[in-house]
This record gives sequence, structure tokens and C-alpha cells, in this order.
Amino acid sequence: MDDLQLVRELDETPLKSADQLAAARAQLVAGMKAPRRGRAGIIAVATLSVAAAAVGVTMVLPSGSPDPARQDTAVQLLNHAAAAARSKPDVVPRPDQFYYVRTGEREDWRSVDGTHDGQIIPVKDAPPIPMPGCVDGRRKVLDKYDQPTGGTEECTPGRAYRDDLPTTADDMLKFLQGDDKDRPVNSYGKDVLAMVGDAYLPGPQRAALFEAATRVPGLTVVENVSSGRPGIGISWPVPEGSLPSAQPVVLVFDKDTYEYLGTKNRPQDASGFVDQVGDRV
Amino acid sequence: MTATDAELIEASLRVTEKFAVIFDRHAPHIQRYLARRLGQQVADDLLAETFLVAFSKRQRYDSSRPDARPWLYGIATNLVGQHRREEVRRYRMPSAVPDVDDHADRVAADVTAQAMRSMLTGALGALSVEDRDVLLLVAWEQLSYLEVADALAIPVGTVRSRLNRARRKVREALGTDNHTEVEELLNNG
Repeated sequence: MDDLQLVRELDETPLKSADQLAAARAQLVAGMKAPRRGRAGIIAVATLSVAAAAVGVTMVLPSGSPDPARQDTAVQLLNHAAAAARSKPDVVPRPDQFYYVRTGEREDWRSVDGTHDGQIIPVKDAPPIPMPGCVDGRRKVLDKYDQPTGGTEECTPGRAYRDDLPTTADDMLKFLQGDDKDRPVNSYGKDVLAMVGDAYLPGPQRAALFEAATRVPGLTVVENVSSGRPGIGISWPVPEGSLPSAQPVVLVFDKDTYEYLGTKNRPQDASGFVDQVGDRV
Repeated sequence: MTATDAELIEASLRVTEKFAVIFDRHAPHIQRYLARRLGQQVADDLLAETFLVAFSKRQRYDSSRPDARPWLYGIATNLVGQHRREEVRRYRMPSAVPDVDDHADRVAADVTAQAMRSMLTGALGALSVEDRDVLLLVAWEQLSYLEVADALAIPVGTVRSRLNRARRKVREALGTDNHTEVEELLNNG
């Protein structure tokens, strides 16, 4: 027996059961929903990076008084973007295809109807992370090394082509809000991010999303900003209490077509529908 | 649910509730680690704190690591560091006295083992906090060198050197060139 073993045997503290840890879990869940003051800043920074990762619209209530003139311009820009989204002819993929998105080194292949196995390559040359499709309400279970365990679990298909989403700003806002009327704007803003970043929204849905975003106070326009391509951006104040290094997210739109290009730091380099995982556009 | 931790953490950026699954998977081990170092009461207080810190930092989680436990140990270790004094005080506290009503031989053995435990805990308390972090993550939590390096954000070489130093100090405190004696004491105790 060596000294490590001695130290090991010094302690026989048992593992606690889930029941015994329920109080701490409840504390965590409460903290996740309503961040305490002080921690709010950190979470706000998290949100900003999320925005970069997921591409889209984080909605943050203004910490100061918004400038009404600039506010109008942001609303106008989003309305232009919405109009552009509505007028653009839509690609309608086949259900068995995949929505491919390249954002920097990251590549996603997401099943159009959510029933086929997709994958994510998080960074260049990294092993792909499988995303099992959901067939007849069941999905393959993977172990922590991404190997199938042989079991399945309950699921609902995660569609990459979201023609199921609302097509009016009102309904879109309601959809985002869900049942929780007190949900902070910032919280459902993050769902918006996921919707634009991880899925393809057809024109009407995308337009509704941009129009819903015009209801967010505190948005401002950023001139001459680039997301791979030069464009015009929409931003909002970094929340109070954020780290000094926190940068606001800027959504970038093409100056002329108002096409969405990605965020300032995370341009969407390529996206489109492909027949199988591994295919690129 | 057998999405990897990395996938869950990523998903939690959009659907925050998913982060609770990370708690369900790892909280028992993280709680035990905190309890081992700081006692049950403080551990209970710090458990939620550990996961809230993790939650707030999750966008910086390295998604190439499927298993989040080393990362969580790292966060817990930082919190332990803020309670360093309590930890050291704990190691200096005498443990429970063995039952003296037992058979005399048994008592003798227990008392000796007890004495050795005291020496061990004393040695742990005397370690630098950096060395102790590494030693306990390896000995108690059974993390690999790489996992410790991940958890503490230090190079693997540093893990090795800290561990070697910690072990040497423990051996010195036990006066063990006489390993076998120590072993027998523990086995009999």
C-alpha cells in the first residue's frame, strides 16, 4: 500500500442520493431562471457569447434610457430585413435532407425533419458529434463517448426547417414568451438565437422574427460593420454589471438587400440544404 | 439522456433547463468532494454555488471535452480555495475517538490507526493549497493526470510535479520508510 492509497482510505464519505441533493438542485434551477444581482453580469456575458455561437438576436432590456431617434432606425432596419426576408424566394428542402451551416471552423448538419441522424463538427478536425434523429418518438441513446448504447429514449424531432413557426410578429412574440409571462426578455431572446442559428426559417417566419425583434426596446443601429461582408448592424447595450471586456452583439445585415449575414464576430460563412451528412455547399 | 455533457452544455445555451441534467449527472460526486474537503455543512452550501458558477461560465466550456466532471471539479476546487482556512482547521480537528469499551487488542489497534490518521490529516493540512488540490483530486476523486490538468487549467507536467511533492511530504510526515508497518496498522485498524 502506498501513500496515495493511505490518503484514499482516510476518507469514506458516502455519495449522496438525488433526494438528498434536491435542495441544491432547486437552488440551481432557481438561479438559472432568475440570476441574482452580481451574477447577472456574468450571465449577460454568457449570453453575448451565445449570441456569437448561435447567430441571431439576443434581446436585452436597456440599462439606460434608449435614444428614441436611434431606436427608430433600428426598428426600420429590422423591418427592412423582415421585408427582404418575405420577398426572397424560398428554398423548400426535402424532409430527408440536411441543413448545413458553416460558422468559422464549426460545421452543422441538421436533419430537415428531425428524423435523420445529423452531426456537428465543433472545430476543424475534431471528431464529429452525432445527433441521432427522432423516429416514431424514439431516439438512439449514446454513451459519453458518443457510441450507441443499444437503447433508445423518448424524443420529439428537432426540425431544421421551421415552416411550423408563426408567421406574424404577434404570434411569434407569443410563441417566444410561452406560458411564462414574467420571463425576462433576454431569456427568450436566446431562443431566438437558436432559431436563426440552428435552423432555417422560411421567409415569412424569418420576417415575423425580425418584426418581433422590433418590439425590443434599446436596439441601436451600428453603421459600417462587417460580418465577413460589410454591412449595417443592430446592437443593444451591454447589460449593467457585465465584465469590462464584454462586447455587445451586433447582428449584421447586407446594406442593400438587408439579408442577414451573421453576427459581427461569427459570420455565417455558408449555409444550404444537402443530401447527406458530410456534403457541403 | 445520453447526450454528452458537452452537447448538453451547448444545448443549455438555448434551453437553460438542460443544464439541470449536468447537475443530475455529477452533483453526487461534486458534493462528496466538497464534503471531503470542507465537511457536509459547507458542502451543501457550496454545491449549488458550484453549479451556478458552472452555469454562468458554460459558454466558455471546451466542447471538445465530452465529460464535464473535471471542469466541475475545477470550479469546486476554486470555491474550496476560498474556504482554505476552514479546510485546514478541519484537518487539524481530532477525529472521533474509537470505542474504548471494545476488546483491549482492538482498542490498541484502533488507537494506533487513529494516530496515523491524525498524522495523515495533519500532513494534508500542511500542504500548500496547490499541492493539496492535485493530491486530493488524484487520491480521492481518482482523476487522471490529464483530467487534473484540465480541471485546474495547469500543464500536465505541473500536475506531476505537484503530486510528487505532495506525496513526498505525506511520506515524510508519516516517517515512512517503514511502509509495511503503516500498511499493517491500517489493515488491522
